[in-house]
Formats: sequence, C-alpha cells, structure tokens
Amino acid sequence: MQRKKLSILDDESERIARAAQGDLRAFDELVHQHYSLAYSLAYKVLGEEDDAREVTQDAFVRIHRALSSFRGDASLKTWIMRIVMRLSLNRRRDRTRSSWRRLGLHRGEGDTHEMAPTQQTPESEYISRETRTQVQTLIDRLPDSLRQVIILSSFEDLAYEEIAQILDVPIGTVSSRLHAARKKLLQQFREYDLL
Amino acid sequence: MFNRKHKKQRAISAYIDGELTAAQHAAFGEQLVFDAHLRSELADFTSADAIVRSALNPAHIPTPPVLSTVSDPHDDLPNENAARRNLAPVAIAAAGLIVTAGLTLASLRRRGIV
Repeated sequence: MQRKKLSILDDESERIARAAQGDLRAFDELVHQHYSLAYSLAYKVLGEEDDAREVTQDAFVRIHRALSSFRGDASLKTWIMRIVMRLSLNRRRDRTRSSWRRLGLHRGEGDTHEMAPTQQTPESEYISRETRTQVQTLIDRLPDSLRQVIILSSFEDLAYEEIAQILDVPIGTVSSRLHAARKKLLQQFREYDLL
Repeated sequence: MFNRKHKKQRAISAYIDGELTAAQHAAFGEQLVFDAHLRSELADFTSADAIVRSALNPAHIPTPPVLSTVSDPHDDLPNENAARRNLAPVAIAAAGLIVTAGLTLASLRRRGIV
C-alpha cells in the first residue's frame, strides 16, 4: 500500500516536472487526475455549475503558469485546492455584490438545464431538491471560517492536516471550527426538521 | 462539566473524521458501548454530515478539457527553418542556371559568336 502510494507520488513528481517544462500531455494528465476534486470544491463553495466550471478552468490556467514555482512543500492536491478555494471565494465575494443575489433571486437559477457529459455523483441523489436548497442556504449562512471548514471536511479523503494546509491555519483550529460548524448545523437541522 | 461535554463532542467529530489515534479510538468505542446518549449524538452528527455531503456535492462532474489536442497558436506562424528548407532547392537551381549560363557564354565567346 505504502509502496503503491510512493509510486503514485513518483509518477506525479515526474509529471509535474514534465508539465513545468511545457509538456502539455503531462499537464493534461495532472488536470485529469485532479479536475474532479477541483471542480467539486469550486461547486461546493459557489453552488453553481457555470461558475464552478469557469473557476476550475481559471485555476488550472494559473496552476499551469505557476507550476515551475511549485516547491512541493505541500502535496500538489493541497496546492491545487488552495488555489481553487481562493479563486472560488473571490468569485463568491464578487457575486454577493450583485443586487440580484442580495435579493436572494439567484437560488435555483440554472437548476433546470442539463449539463454536458458525465459522471453522476450518487450522493447528490440522497436528499430531495428542496432539502438540498434548504441545507445549502443554512451552510451559506455560516460564518466564512466555519463554512470553509465544513466544505473541505465534506471531502472524505481530506485529513485535518490537509485542510489546515489549504486554509493555512493550525490543525487545532480546523478541529475546533469543524466541531463548531457541525454543532451549529445540527441545531438548525433539528429546528427545520431536516433530521 | 461544560469542558467535559465539549471535549466529548469534539471527540465525536474526530471519531467521524477518523482523526483519533488507535488508543483514543478504542477508548471512544468503549464509551459508546455504555453511553446511549453518546451513541445518539454520534448518530445525529453522522446523519447531519451525510445531509451536508448530499447537499454540497455536484450532480455532475464535467469532463475536463484536453489541452494537448488543442493546436498550438504558434503553429500558424511561418517556421523560419521550414522557410530556409524550402529556399534551398531554389538556391541550388539558381546557382545551376548561373553556372550553365556562364559556361554557355564562355563557349560562345570561344567560338567568336559573341
């Protein structure tokens, strides 16, 4: 298992080196490897497909430009997620300035159009659309610091240490914020009969 | 009292996230056996987590763009080396013509025609 992980990391370092030297195929492989994670993060922060797709593409353009300066202090996954998180938060901030959003009219827009290809995520079918919107609204209302940590914790394979690296905070802060966010959401889920 | 409750609740989060050490995990498991309230709290936290995941997850993941098949914009620009390669046969032909013309002229002069 450990050996397999090391071999994956070796492959990745090699790909990073090749991509940094301008090998587009190597960069494609990196994009394919991390696209799903990056898009999911952008979507979770923004809640809209078009915005999430744009931010993800923008993130990979920036990653391509900055790849030669990637020092490998953190894993590539963590680095990518940090970039996607920052860009998504910026986009979210810009959006909240729009009066359309201030009036709360954006929720549900674009829900009806089907997107081009592809993988369906089964978990998304677990709750009804109405509950989904309600839960998203409750998560939206959390303070930024709690919302960010709850979004990152929803990626099952992200450890506290990685969340701490993405948000640039100590691990203890991740643990306490996550607990506070869960407690707050749990309380609200009970209030709204979502549990 | 508050601290103990708070600590216990934080342990629930860490337990759900698999962030407890082996010893902490075992101790928490023991507590779960004897504490019905803790079990119920754990069940609520776990359900809440599942709801959050379901609400946040995208319904679809779009296919990533393939960059290596996109043509390089520089491909449209004339390649200097290619241009040089294309000029080489012309230059050789021109040199050949000059030599032939020179030889013909010399031959005509020798015969006194020119």
